Amino acid sequence: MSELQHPLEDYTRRGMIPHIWCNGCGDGIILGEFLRALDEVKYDINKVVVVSGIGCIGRISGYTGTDSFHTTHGRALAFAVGVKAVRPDLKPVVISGDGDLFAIGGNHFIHAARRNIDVMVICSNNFNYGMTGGQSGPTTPIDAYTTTTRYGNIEHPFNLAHLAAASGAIYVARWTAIHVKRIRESIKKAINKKGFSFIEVITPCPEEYGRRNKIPDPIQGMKWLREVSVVRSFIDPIEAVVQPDKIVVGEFVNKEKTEFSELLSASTQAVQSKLEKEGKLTNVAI
Amino acid sequence: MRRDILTGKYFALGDVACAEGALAAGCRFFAGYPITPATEIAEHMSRRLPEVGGVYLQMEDELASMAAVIGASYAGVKSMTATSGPGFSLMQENIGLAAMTETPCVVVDVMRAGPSTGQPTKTSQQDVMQAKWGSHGDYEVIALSPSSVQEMFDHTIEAFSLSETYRCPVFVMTDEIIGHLMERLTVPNPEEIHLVDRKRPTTPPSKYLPFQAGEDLVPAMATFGEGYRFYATGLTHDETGHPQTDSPEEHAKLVQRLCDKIRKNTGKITEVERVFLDDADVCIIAYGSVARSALSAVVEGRERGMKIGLLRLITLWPFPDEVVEQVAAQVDKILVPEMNYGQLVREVERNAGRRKVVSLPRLGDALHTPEEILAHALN
Amino acid sequence: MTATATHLPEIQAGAPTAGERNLMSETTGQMIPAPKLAKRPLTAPQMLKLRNVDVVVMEDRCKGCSFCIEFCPKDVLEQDTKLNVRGAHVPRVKDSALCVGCGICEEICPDFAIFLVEKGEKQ
Repeated sequence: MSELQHPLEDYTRRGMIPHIWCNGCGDGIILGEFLRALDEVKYDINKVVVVSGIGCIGRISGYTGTDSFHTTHGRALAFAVGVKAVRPDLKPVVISGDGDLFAIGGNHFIHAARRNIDVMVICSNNFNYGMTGGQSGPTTPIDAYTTTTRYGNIEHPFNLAHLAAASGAIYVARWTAIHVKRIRESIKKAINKKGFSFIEVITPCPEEYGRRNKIPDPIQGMKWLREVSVVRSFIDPIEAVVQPDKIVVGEFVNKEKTEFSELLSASTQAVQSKLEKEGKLTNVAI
Repeated sequence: MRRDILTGKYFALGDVACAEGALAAGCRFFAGYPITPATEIAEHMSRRLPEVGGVYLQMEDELASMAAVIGASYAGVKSMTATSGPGFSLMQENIGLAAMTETPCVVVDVMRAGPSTGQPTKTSQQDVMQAKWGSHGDYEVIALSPSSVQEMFDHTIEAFSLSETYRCPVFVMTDEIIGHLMERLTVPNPEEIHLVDRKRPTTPPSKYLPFQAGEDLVPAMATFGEGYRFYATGLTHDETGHPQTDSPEEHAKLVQRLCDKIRKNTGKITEVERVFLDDADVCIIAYGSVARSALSAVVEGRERGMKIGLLRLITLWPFPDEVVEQVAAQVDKILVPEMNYGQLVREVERNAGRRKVVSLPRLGDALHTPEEILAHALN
Repeated sequence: MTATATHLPEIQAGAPTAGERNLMSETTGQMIPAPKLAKRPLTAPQMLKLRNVDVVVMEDRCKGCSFCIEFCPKDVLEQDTKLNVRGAHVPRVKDSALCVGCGICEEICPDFAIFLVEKGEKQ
């Protein structure tokens, strides 16, 4: 219809849009809001490294016009930790899914949060494993139907905001795909914080989870999110439940804590100063 | 004098020599997890890296260690990890990722008795096949086998040079004996150490194709944060780095290049040591600590008038096919002593034929004695 | 502001807003109170500037989810009868005078297929 360019075109990887995500998938909204947030705070795009794992949302690193890496399943955070440790000038942003970050990647998540490493994590939580056809995952609500829980899910799900806060994250927020402006505001805040930030975005998955759980239509999925969301910022994350009839959203944690790179830098400086003062090359015996 | 190259003569532990070699090679990132008998490498790196301005990270497991090594390498820093059998198994997934994304990195495996938890404090050479075939799919790696503490130092430097040249994971496959051995180590002057850095892009960011390679089949490697804004993935990809999950041609093209860049350069990469081979009738092919016993056996044999020689494998992978084939043509018998149940002997048989080759396996913390090797060489 | 603001959405008396919905604590069993929210109305110049926009649709990108149509607060868009290359009904502007330039369509679109430009930039 027109040759006009989308306002975010320069932030996307040339030639990769339109993306592969399904009709009505919330991942496109996350991509849009992430790029809009970077634009609004005028973040130095050359310093952003987008790292993603395996899954539908894992493809996002191919769509952002940044240095990007698409890792093996669950290892995005470990990769990001390696990047940040040697290059404190860069800002790794891990954008991945509920299974990638909390099932196979669970261990790496809690340790990265514990270290308070300066990485921003955005989790697209769609309650199942979409890319492989809709299997259950660690956030699938109890009684829900997926391809591997045909009789109803019998496992309790994680409360991701609570898990992130308990592991040591200094910024924890949860929104849904319908809260477009809130997602953007949270990203803007988190990207400038020095430390581990976690933003959970609950997204509809019409083709897989939605289809099997009475919300097959994209509009139904979004309306459901709007209907069941309750905004309560700064309550104790343990109160911020996620259930099919109630999703508590908001910003739950926003605090400061010494960040890993600062501690590392201070420690390295101290070691080297000591050597200088003592006039030695090393204090270690070979 | 430099903090990273502590020129001098020492009486050092094998693991420590390996760590010092890494520092001398320019390694400034180590991510690992403690595991007998490689823990000393991690401990030494944790103490020395801050002194040279590098970073030591103790990750939550070996999978994370390997992922962090790839991350740090893509962020522009020479990186390594060190482990033993059980950790090596965990790392295989991301070794595959390193091969697919052509990440220069060094992995040290101080082999111990396996499979599984096995005997943590006892030596073996049981991981040598795993080094080549550990991860899924077709890919090529380079593996070196030190036989002394000095070689732990030298081969680690060589491993970094090879990984930077060929943009692939390079393994230093040593065993617990060498890892925990104390021997003389000479750290040379910095001028005597030859270092290699990865090929950097010569094109501006707008024209850079991250996986486009010239005749040497190795692409130039950009670093995060320099404005290249490139994309690397473990999915099959084309020269632009974008995923190509539907095209059989693209898959064949990529996998062939990843393998050919090593296979076509096997002659340049592989290194062996020949001892008394010119007129030998019997050849012993050995590597690692077994090669030391084999050397004694060969010297003893020659003193008794036997026409016996030794081919010491310094490079295990890519396997020196042509060299072994050529040696096999000259001799009547090849003896392959290994501290496993017969692994690299298969590669020898592939090149020499099964009739000429005799395997001398040894399981359990038991280095072959020179007498044992000589006895088997005789009959 | 004393002028009648006919373009603002009608707020039905008594209906709870998202912030006021009840939430009971998981641990104490007590009710967690709703937050106090503050909003300021736009000034007239701000409103006029926002309204000075056209809607642009990149038809080939649209997958037909209809989020823009459904969530437009002014009901500006509707489904076009024709189909695009993907077999989806793209949105079309019913009446551009209704548009207040809020930008929800641009933000809620997952496919980068609809956006606003200043009036006059189109064509």
